Amino acid sequence: MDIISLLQYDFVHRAFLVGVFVSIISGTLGLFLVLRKMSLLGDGLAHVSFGAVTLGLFVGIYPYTISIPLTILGALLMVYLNHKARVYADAAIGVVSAASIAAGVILASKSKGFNTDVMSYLFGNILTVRIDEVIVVAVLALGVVTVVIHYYRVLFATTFDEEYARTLGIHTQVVNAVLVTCTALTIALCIKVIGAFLISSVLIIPAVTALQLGASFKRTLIYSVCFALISMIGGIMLSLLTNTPTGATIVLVHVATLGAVLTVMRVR
Amino acid sequence: MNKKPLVAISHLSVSYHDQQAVSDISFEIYASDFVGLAGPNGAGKTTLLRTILGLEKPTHGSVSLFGKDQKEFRAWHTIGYLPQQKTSVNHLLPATVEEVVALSIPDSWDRRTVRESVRAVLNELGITHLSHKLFSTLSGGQKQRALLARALVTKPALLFLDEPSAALDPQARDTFFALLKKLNKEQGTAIVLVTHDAGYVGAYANKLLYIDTHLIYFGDFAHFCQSEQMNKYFGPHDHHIICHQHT
Repeated sequence: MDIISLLQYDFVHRAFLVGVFVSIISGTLGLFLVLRKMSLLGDGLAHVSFGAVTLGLFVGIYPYTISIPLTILGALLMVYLNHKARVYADAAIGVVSAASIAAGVILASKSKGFNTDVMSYLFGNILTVRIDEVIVVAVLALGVVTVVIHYYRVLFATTFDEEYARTLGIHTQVVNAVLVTCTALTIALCIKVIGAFLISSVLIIPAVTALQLGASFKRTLIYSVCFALISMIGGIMLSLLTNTPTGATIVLVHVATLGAVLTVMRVR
Repeated sequence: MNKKPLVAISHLSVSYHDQQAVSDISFEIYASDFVGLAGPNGAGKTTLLRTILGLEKPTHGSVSLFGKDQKEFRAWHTIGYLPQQKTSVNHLLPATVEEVVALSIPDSWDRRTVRESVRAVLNELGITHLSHKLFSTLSGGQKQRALLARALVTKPALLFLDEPSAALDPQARDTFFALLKKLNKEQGTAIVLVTHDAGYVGAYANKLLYIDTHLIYFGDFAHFCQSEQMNKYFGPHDHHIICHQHT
């Protein structure tokens, strides 16, 4: 089947739509996470989200109902451990994520009959998203873009020099809490689309790609969103054409884009 | 004195894990003061500065800024701060000099004023040619000037500098201090400059704040240099070293 024929299906429209919204979020948030050396946060929160989804399936509650608050709680616990208990950020992420995935695995082993559902959250499938899920991700994208535009200077100042930002009267701990909460929401809502194993790469790779261009911060932010969009749309199309798993194909297209940019920058 | 102090410190003490870094210090800083904040290594100079700026919490005593208790103070853009070179700047972040300078400006300023203020301060510091360069690609001296521009862009009434000459060669240091003196004289900007080299700063400062965990001296530089008591405290050699450049 060619791409034109595939584009006539509703599920393909929904996949592209949700892909666009996920890219806007990942391209924007990802840059702040990478620059604040919080790249692993996405990975850790995906594990928390996986554990929470498993708990939801185990007790028979709609997974989002339980995964959204628990992932946010997990994110805030990581921040708390880092700031108050003097645990290094990467270690704090490691502790919370390991505990969550261990709980998830135990719950999955004790359950009967939902292992197929668990697998769909581990690897995701953008082609199965429902219209209500598209709307939820669209609202999240709008929220993230609004926060970044409205608090652009505050986010930029905190990312560039957190201590100096405090001398400007910026409450940097609140900024950090907002950033990790947005990330937690993104992970909790997008895990079904991309999958727990792959979602952090979608957050990190566009930002890393954009940073290779050595542009100003504002331009880097725009490039990051553009690379996320190109890789997401390219990944979905390639997966439809080659009949490969969509989440994994999207991630490999992200990696290929990074490789292409690195090569071009080296040649130049 | 009828003028209102820009900074009023009263019986300030700061401790870290039961170790006293600053002990019972009181002083006031007024408009047009150029204060050299000196003392030996570990005397609490940077701690004192960071406490005034709200980066450290006092154990005892109070900090008042522009007549307001520090906790209620909101007009942080009226205070400029140039931290030490080895600070928390994120060198991975691809920010242009223009972007770095503009980040000190409150959101309430309109875009045109922001643009003009950034252009004006870069021009004043002679670094207009660097405005589109990435901060991470600048030399030590250029970075220092860009960070000074960041501190000055809002035309603060009060400027704090922490060891600002550490990354500068002697010629750049003279130019830098002459610029500070000009700001102090022409715009009445109060300057507090942390230094381990009280002798050098004596050429520019009109007041000296000397601490060694507790307050040793605060007052006119000239008075310090004439003080028999201070001569006795520091010994004639060290007293001369501190005073030899003061005019």
